Amino acid sequence: MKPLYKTIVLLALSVLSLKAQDNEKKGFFKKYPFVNMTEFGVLMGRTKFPMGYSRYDSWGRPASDAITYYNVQNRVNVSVMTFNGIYLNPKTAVGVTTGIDWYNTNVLMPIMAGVRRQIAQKKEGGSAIFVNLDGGYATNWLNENAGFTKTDGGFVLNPSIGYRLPMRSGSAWLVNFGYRMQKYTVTEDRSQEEWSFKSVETRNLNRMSLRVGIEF
Amino acid sequence: MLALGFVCFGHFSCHDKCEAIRTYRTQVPVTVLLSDLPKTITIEAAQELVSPGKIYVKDNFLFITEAGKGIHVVDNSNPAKPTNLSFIKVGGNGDMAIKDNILYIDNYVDLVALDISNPKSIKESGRLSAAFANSVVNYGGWYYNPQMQAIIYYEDKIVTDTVETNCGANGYIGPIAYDGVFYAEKNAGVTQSTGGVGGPAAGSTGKGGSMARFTIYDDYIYVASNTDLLVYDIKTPTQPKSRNKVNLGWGIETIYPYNDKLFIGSNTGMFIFDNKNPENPVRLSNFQHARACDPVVVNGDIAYVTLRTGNTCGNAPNELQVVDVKDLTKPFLIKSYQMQNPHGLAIDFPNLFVCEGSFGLKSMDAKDARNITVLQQIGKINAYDVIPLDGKHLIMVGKDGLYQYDYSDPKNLKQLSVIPIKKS
Repeated sequence: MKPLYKTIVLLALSVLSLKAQDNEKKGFFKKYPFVNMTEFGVLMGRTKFPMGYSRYDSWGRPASDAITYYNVQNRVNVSVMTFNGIYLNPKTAVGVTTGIDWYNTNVLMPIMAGVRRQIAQKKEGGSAIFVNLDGGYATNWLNENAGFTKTDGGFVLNPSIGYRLPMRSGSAWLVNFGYRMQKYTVTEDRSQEEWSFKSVETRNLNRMSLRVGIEF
Repeated sequence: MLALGFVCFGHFSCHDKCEAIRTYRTQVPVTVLLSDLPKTITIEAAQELVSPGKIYVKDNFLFITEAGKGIHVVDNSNPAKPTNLSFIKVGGNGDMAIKDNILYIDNYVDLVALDISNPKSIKESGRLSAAFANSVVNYGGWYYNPQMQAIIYYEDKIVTDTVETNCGANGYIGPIAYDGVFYAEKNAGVTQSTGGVGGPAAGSTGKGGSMARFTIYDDYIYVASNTDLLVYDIKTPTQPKSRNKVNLGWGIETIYPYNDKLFIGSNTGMFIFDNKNPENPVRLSNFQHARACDPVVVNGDIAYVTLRTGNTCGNAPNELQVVDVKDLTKPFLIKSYQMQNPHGLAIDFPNLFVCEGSFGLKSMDAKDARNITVLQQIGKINAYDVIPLDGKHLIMVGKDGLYQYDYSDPKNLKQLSVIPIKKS
């Protein structure tokens, strides 16, 4: 229940910050306008891993001169993230980015510091190109472990570049392409069993991120 | 344009890279050239039992094998207070048998004769090289590769390796095989010897348990290897000579001599051999049963066989089978009794003792073959093999150590002493 509790607190903070925006239009938020960017997207990549060997020795182990046969699988995972921050100036926003990433066997919840910076604009108030950088730590709060396994979150970094397409209402559409690096660890501990098996698996995911969203 | 650049970059470089560092227990093969085998047999100071295997009794002395490492010599003149005398360090040792003052043992591929006329000063007196092709330790130990002139054995090891994984795809767990290794049964080192009940040996042999692979009859020593019955002539006690080799198929486990017959337990059945011509045993019959580990003992016209479920033995039920062997060419089953996990057994009619592994030792009344009853079960100890001596003294070995009982009252065994294993 603890992870759920944490999630609720985070969501509540997001809502409160929105509320704060309404109440305190003057003062701090007048000088540095609040911004929320919520994006939905996919993380695309592939993995190549050994499936077998051309030759085995008499013990059933791969022979020293064996050719390794690999298998390649494509991976597409769903990711949502929300950036809450302020515009320091009309071109630069900073804030906190949280989200949920559904990987094949794990769910991670990244908490990152984020920067949004406009690098080109068609005309005043028109569509623009932004570079974005989010980096931080992905937590395991939403993850559910299978028996004997334990998941530890890890470093996450997501530079991206994208378009900001303003709407008349003052909000804007966002389209981003980027690169997502995610590290995390899965430990399987069966050392109490006869074979005393323990594995510490370090997963380095390198994904292309593709997201669409709304700036509010 | 920039975005397109990102897409291309992503397409070629976006690989998930996952590596697992695994630590696990496995058995790794070790090859040792025959010329490099440690063949010197040394007598060392008494050592504590660690993994006791077979037991052999000769006069007032007890011999207990330490699987693959050597033999403990115990002075048992006072069964209530056995004294550990010394340790014979023998590489690759699995079994033993004694005739007169000669202890025959296996030292890897060699059959070695040790002079034990003075148990306090044991020395090598003869050796037959390259007698065995594999270890006489059940389902473990080593085997001999004649091309390489080497023996190969497995060593238990904790290994750490690094493998690439598939980053946790659903339904498929990486190339994590346990290296296809062969796992010996936990008590692989323990082999049983029940021996020489009433063999007309000229001279005096000792007595082993029901799980023995070595036995002596007349001037011959019989060794049950995994596949063959090997016969050695010991007319000149210090110079064993190879005489015969009878192929029995795979899975031979125990040998039990009874009068001029040999009863051989394999994991598919019980072979009965006529041993009138000791140099050339003749097969009379093969009593088949389900695949199981099975030692056998005999009294009169009745053979008692235990079947045990084990990873390396098969999936037969745990049973005690009572077989009529009046007509040795046509043995038939009288009755089977449900057991828990029977290992070695011994008969001192009408007392039947069955070792039930971790379920302990059972003392049974076998007066009526059709109605064998349990008189007492000593639980909480691990029982592997048992030898009854002179109608009242029982010696039992298990993973926890060596126990001695007084069974004058078979309903109420009295523990005389324990030699415990070394606490680790």
